[in-house]
Formats: sequence, structure tokens, C-alpha cells
Amino acid sequence: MSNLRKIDLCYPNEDLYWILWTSDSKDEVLSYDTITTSQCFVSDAEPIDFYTDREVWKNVLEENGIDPDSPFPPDSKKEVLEN
Amino acid sequence: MGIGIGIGIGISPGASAGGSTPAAPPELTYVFEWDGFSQATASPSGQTYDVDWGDGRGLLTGQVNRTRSAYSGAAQDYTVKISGLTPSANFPYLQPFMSQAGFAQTSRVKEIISFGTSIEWQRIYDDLGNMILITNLNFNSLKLAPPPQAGWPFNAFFNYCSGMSNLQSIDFTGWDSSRVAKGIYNPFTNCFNLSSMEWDVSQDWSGLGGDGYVYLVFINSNDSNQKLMTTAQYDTLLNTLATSAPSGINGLLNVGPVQYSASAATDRQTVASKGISVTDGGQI
Repeated sequence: MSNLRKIDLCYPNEDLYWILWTSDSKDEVLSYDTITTSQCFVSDAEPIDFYTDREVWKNVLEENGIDPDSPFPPDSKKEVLEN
Repeated sequence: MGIGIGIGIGISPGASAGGSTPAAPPELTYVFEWDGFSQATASPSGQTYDVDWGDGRGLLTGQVNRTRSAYSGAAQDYTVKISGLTPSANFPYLQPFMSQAGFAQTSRVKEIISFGTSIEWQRIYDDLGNMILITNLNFNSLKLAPPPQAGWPFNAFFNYCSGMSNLQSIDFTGWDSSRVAKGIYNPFTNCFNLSSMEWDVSQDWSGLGGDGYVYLVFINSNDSNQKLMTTAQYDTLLNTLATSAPSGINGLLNVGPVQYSASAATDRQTVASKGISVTDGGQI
């Protein structure tokens, strides 16, 4: 984690999607999230990539083994319900 | 709605069943508010366990699969104790109790006294696949027992909850944040008809981040406009994180559209400087 650059933005014109990587090599996702047009965001972490196209963002995450639509983190036990 | 990553769910064996007394303290103890006609059920598929429904029959050992309480008389609260459960591949989540299908479902679990020590409950379903907290007209609060041990997860705990329209507060009194693995993660994902929520976030969060991660995601994925805490509560959370969270961690704080006051602006920047990315509704 480095603290080289502060990102501070508010109420983007369109929803933004970001991915924080563990390093500049961008071979491992550290965290990710969405910023809606009614939200603000502040972060000192980097490197962060921003996306305006959710599908592109989702594809990048999926390529890294992450389903952004899952309510669970990728290393959690998945939902198995027996009714 | 966006989400973060990071919580693993570990499950360890529970106590064995049998005998006149439990071989180990109950894995789960909760208060069941009985509505006077529907019975509580336990339906851990393929499980052998001991249960005391509090209905006068005492400890029922060696129970298998689905069993039911035998409540009768006037509506009242019962304390239920279950032990001997052992998680399996098909049993990562307990579905132990709720009224029978076809009955008015006004019974509820209103307090979880103890989660036990052997099973890291992730979520607790009824036998209809709904959360335990469904459909209670008078339900406005829930008291949860402290996390039983380190590494306890609280992610998507109320997943698919519905009918919690009167839930206004969750009492985390006594929680040790160091026992919550990486934080609180999407607790209300896929929920419907949630009321405005009030989180008591004034507790000490300094225990978070011990594993290098802090996730505090207070959003309802089904309604990204819902506020799950007040501005005052969010200000408090920012202050506690600013003063107690360790530096150099990776974190994610997302409170949806909740705004902060001007007096919390510096704390918000401090939180970000510690490595926690903050997403909120901006300053009032």
C-alpha cells in the first residue's frame, strides 16, 4: 500500500467503477467498488483504475476470479441452500 | 452497488450429540418469541444434534434432520438451545427455526444469546429459506451476541431478508471488533422493505485491521438510495476509525448515500490516509 496520491471526487456525471490493485503490476485485485452519481469518494490508495463501463470493469474482475455481483467476497463459502 | 473483497469463512466441527447433557455448551442459544400457534423447527439436513426447545420436554438428544418444538398455551418467549451440530458441505448455513408453512408467521428469533464456539454462523435461515427475521409486525430491534471467536464473519448476514420494515436498530453491545473478520460486509444485500436503519457504530473498532483489512460496507444492494445510518452515526464512525484504525491497512468504507457533517470532514480525510477508501453521500 502506498500513499502517493489522494483521489477526492464528488458526484460524478456517471457511475464510476474502480479496482485497487496490490501493486503496479496489476496482477492481483486488492479491492473494488462502485461510486454512484450521488456519492463521493476519497482514497489515498493506489494504483486504482477507474472505469465508466460496468461491463469492462466486471470483465477485468472476472478475469481475476472475482464475481462483482456476488454479495460474498471471492474467498467465502458460496451459498448452498437446501430446502 | 459496489462491493469489496476479502472475508473467508472458516468452519470447524461442533460438539457431538448424545447423553443426558450436552457434551459441549450449546452451539446456539436464542430467544424465540412464540406467536401462540406455529412451532419452531430445526432442519439441519443430515445432522444429528441435541435440542432443548424450552417447551418442558427437556434436552432432546440424538435428534436427526427436522424436528419441531411442542409449544402450547399462551404466546410467550422461549429460550432454545441447540448443540452437536457439525457443519458439512451442504450445511454451511443453519436453517433451524421458523413457523411452519401455511401459518401466520409472527414468531421470530428476537435475540441470539450465544452463537456457541464451534460453528461460525454466517447466516441463519428459517425452514422456508427466508431469514429468521421475516415478517414481524412489532420487530424493531435485534440484539446479537458478541462474535464467539476471532475471525468471525459478518458478511451478507441478512442476505435475502425481507419484511424487516420495522427494523430500526441493531444492538452490537459487547461486540469485540477484533473478532469480526475484516469487518462488516454487505450485511443487507438483496434485502427488501428495510426501514431506515440505525447502527450503533460507536463501539471500539480498533480491533479491525489486525489482518490488514477493514471492510465496512453498510449498504442495501437492493436499494442503493437507502440510508442505513444517520449522519450523526456516520460522523461517529468516521471519528472512531480516524482515531483507532491502524495505518497502512487496506480498507473499504461505503455507507451508500449517507452524508457527513462538516465537523467530520477532517476525520474522513484521516480515514482515507490510513488506507481505507471511503464512499459516501458527501458533505452536508
